[in-house]
Amino acid sequence: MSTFLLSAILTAVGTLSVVSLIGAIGVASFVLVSGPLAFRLVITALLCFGVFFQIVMVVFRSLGVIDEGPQIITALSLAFALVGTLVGAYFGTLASDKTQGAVERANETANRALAEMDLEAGRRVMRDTSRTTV
Amino acid sequence: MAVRLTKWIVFGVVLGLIPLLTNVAKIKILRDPSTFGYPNEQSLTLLQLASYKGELLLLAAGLSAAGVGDLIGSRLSGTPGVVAKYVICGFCLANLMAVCLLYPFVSDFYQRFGLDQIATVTWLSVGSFTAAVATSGVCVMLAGVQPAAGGQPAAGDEPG
Repeated sequence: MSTFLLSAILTAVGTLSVVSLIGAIGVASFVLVSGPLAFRLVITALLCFGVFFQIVMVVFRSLGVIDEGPQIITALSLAFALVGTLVGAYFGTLASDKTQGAVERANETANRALAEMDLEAGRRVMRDTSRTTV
Repeated sequence: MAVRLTKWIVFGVVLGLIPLLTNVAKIKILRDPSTFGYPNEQSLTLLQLASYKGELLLLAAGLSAAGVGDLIGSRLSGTPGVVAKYVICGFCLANLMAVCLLYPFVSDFYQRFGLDQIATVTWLSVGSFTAAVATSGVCVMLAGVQPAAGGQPAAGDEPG
């Protein structure tokens, strides 16, 4: 058998094993971590990326692809950028959800207060509100 | 779930590794000369001795097959986390196929290349074995998840 074919088979099998390992870690973390769906997704993505990054670093070091300090710093910068993006996206979504909830609660409170007022006072409030918003 | 996993680790993984460890101990303690045509086994490290003829891949195939069997033996449909069960079943089967494909090539690497390719053999064997342990461990864990009483969702099935 040619060396190229053998190398291709070994590479494919190694890749399949790595994908299986990362998939198992992802499924386990997704099932075991409790909380909202977004939180579980972010934790799973961070775990999978962490394991993938470690494997890539070990393989690249052993192959001699990454040898020097600046290359390692570049790889780490990319990793931190991705982790930062994931965490930032999660907290951004969380803050947006909280703001939306607060606005909805305030709107509901105002509507209930308006319903408790007498008719004339309610009309005056509505008129003033429409003037200020316009 | 923890008890089930502990039993599986002790009786499925650790006890399954004993024949390999016995072989390593035999080579290191008795210091028998290697089979004719093989490079001297005394020069190999413990990890290389545990994987140099592909025995670790056989163990990995056994673990993966047992994990898939355990998962399929449990109820798949109607149980919590059914998507996770199907996904991990797919990963476990993929790893099983990878190991089956790898074994015929790796098993005679030592005889053909000697110490030149021992690192390849070791890393591929250890990687496949680790993947098999991880996938089948999750299979065993999920196989223990049964439908909760009253049709209430259990762990891993929260809609968010």
